[in-house]
Amino acid sequence: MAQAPKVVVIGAGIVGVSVAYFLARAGIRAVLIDSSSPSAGATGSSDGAISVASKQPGMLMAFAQQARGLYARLSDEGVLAGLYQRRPTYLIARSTEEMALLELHASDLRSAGEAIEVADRAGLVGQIPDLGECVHGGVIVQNDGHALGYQITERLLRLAELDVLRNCACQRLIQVENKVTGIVTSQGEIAADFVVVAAGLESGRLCGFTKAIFPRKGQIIITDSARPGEVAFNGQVMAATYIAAKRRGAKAPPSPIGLVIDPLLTGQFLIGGTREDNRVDTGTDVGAISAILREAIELYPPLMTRRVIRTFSGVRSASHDGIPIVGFHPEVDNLLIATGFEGDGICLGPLTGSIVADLLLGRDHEVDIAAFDPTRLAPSGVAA
Amino acid sequence: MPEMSVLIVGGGPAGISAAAALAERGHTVTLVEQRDRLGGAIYRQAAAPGISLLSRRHEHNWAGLTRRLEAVAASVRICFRTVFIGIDNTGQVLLDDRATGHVRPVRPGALLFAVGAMEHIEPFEGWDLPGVVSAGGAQMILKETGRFMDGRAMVAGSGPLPFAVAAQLAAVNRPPLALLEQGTPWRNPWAGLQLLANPAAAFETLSYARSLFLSGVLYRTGVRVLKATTRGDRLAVEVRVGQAKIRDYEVDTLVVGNGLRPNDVGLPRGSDLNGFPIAKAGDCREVLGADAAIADGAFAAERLDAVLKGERTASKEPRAVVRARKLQALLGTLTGSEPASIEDRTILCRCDGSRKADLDALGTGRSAFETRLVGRFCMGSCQGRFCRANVARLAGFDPVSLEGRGRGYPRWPIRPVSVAALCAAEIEDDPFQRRLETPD
Amino acid sequence: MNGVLYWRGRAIPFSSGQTVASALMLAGVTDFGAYSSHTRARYFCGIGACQSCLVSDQDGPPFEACITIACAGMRLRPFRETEDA
Repeated sequence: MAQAPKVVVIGAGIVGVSVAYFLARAGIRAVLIDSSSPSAGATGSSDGAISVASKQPGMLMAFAQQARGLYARLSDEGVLAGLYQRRPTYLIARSTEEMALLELHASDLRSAGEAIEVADRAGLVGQIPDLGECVHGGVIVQNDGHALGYQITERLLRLAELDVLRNCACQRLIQVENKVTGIVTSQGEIAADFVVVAAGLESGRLCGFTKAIFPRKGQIIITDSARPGEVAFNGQVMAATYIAAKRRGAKAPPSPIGLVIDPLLTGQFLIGGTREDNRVDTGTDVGAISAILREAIELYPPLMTRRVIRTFSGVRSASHDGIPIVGFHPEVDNLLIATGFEGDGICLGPLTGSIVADLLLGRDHEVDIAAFDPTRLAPSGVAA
Repeated sequence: MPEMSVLIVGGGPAGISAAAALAERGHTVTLVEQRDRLGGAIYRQAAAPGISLLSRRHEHNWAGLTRRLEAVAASVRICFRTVFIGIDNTGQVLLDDRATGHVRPVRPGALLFAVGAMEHIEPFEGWDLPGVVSAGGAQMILKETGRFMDGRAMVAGSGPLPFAVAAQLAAVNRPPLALLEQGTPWRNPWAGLQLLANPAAAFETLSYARSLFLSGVLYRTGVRVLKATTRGDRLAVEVRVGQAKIRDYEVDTLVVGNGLRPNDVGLPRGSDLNGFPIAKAGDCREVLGADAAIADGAFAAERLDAVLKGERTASKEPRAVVRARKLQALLGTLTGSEPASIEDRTILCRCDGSRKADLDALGTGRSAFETRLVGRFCMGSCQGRFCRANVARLAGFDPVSLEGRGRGYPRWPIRPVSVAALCAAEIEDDPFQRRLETPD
Repeated sequence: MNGVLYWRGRAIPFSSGQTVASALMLAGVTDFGAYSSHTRARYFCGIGACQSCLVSDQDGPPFEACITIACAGMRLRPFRETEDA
């Protein structure tokens, strides 16, 4: 290309910002728009798991390993310095049945090359004193990590000196003979050689995949800190039910609660969460919050002496086959899509961003994302 | 879930007046109060008898409210140590019952907020230190005990409240070293004269002035606190007199306050988002003082009664409310002053220790949402009650935009609530529990 | 009717009906311990709004000293410190 192509990225969540960041590294300054402001969607309402431990075995687990590897590399390079912490994930079983499931999951993780320790109750209590009586045993996934989506997004925006057009909603794409040439926004038209849609649920409407993506709501709780800046334990605790839900892929989760206790660097706890399909409201209800907390204090009783200072919901875009949707649109040229990450967007976002940037630039990339290809989905008409 | 006709939050003048008026009209009322006795901030009762600091007028009005409430005691259930913590996504009103350690979700027939005013504090470097108390906070201790902290006190700020506190300190033989007023009331002689037209306010002002004069309290106007630092066991307070002169005081307690404003933090904006009417009365709606709050509570009760009975309301705003509004406007002109510039090092958000420089570092073009999420302003335990107005002014936002919102309502909890109380929530017929049983 | 509560082991007298906050303040306890990394817990607003005056009774969750009535025998400590510092 003689001249740098004009690129518009729709959505300033972690995925869209990562795309724009990697494009900027390649010398292309994309126009980044958001219907609200950066991290206003699922990115700003998520836990901090940069976790391979929680992934479905197979291609998703392998992809998550590479995504986590990119976090580590960007952290070492200084890009994400101070924002990414290497720390284990503790998968917790409360019964022998749950332990059997975790052992199966552990063997899959081990096959994928993960450093795994299967621990009995005593082994876990050695790492996390004060675990509840209900804890039977678990699996420690050593090389996982932690990062907060909004902090990553903010850092990438700053480093690449990216401007975001805020409160700029994309209404539709402009096409000329099966090729996208720009978009119509609430603030006027923007011409483009390439359009990247990373707008979460909105991506479905814009790209004609409304049937492929559905909302999944997760209610989350934030507590105060016992002592500011003193982290209670060095990793994230996940109940086996969460893993059970993940291993079932797109099938309906067995429990609407996938318990995660995430000790934040501030000393606070983030406790999640529900998995509620086809709900798009961001409110929380006392029944759900109470149910999550009852499970949480059973697993970790010291939470009893904390106070809840905030509750909120993230609405994630989930795909019906449980696999993200990343790649060129099957019918419209120069249109890329990256969505359907459900609760894994923070972990997978930066790697996805680098891949989308490579796809757009016609560069090779090392990661196999054939399974993410939108061609597998039948579009029902691009919003044009 | 318990049937509840009208739920009133706050047991001060507006709440009690509304409770009595609604009960007199045949409604059953539940009145929740966060403390273990009624009265609110204005009629806070002394812990020991014989030390009341209330003026005769307030004593009289309080006795009247108590009598009215007693007359309808059978229809008014009072829940002490109960804190309103918000409305959830399903329209349940959440009460943190600290007496029993349970969160109680309720569905009232109507909801009335009478939670009183908020104090406005203009931050300066060191306002977050121990030994610095708000004017209202100082008053609470005085009213409750008739005593004050040992050592030297100084009162600084603007408006009628610091003036009243200084006089009350003098009344308990603890006159402050100085009363430092930011504004320059003497430059508004006309407003001062108009004040005389309101006999109650004029009498109160003059009696405070007399008390300050007789105790030899130094009263200075046009003075701002620049900085407070710890010096040994005391506070060193640096103030600026007029435009240039700097003075230094050493005190044990520094009382600060820049007036009152309506308390709308975490309260729903709509009037009937979930099928039941919602109203506000008293200082949380408009800061007009206790006398007007009594009238405003009755007025709100009258309107709620009409809504609940499906009748039309034709009543006019009470005269006491209109009068109080004029008085407040007058006092505003008399003691109004421009907000001070805020130094980089000054802490804006005490919960998270964020400074003015941290707000500036966010850069321009940020949304209110990012100021919360990325800047971490208004995200601490006080939910922005003390930084929101200042952050909004500095960054040019509508203060309401700095509030986390769910579906139509501010996010709950609007006050921190213990994990234990939420685990013990008395949940019946809950939509989420139903989904648990029959997943869709 | 008077009582005694304990702040970090120190006996603090109070009259019945008095709040924890006024009992502490009048006994000369103005610093309620660590709050955030930059700030100390302290009495301020008196109406439960500012959340600065949090204390704990033994191992319990923190509460606002300014709206909580003092009870005889309370063993209070800074809410973010476990040991008597």
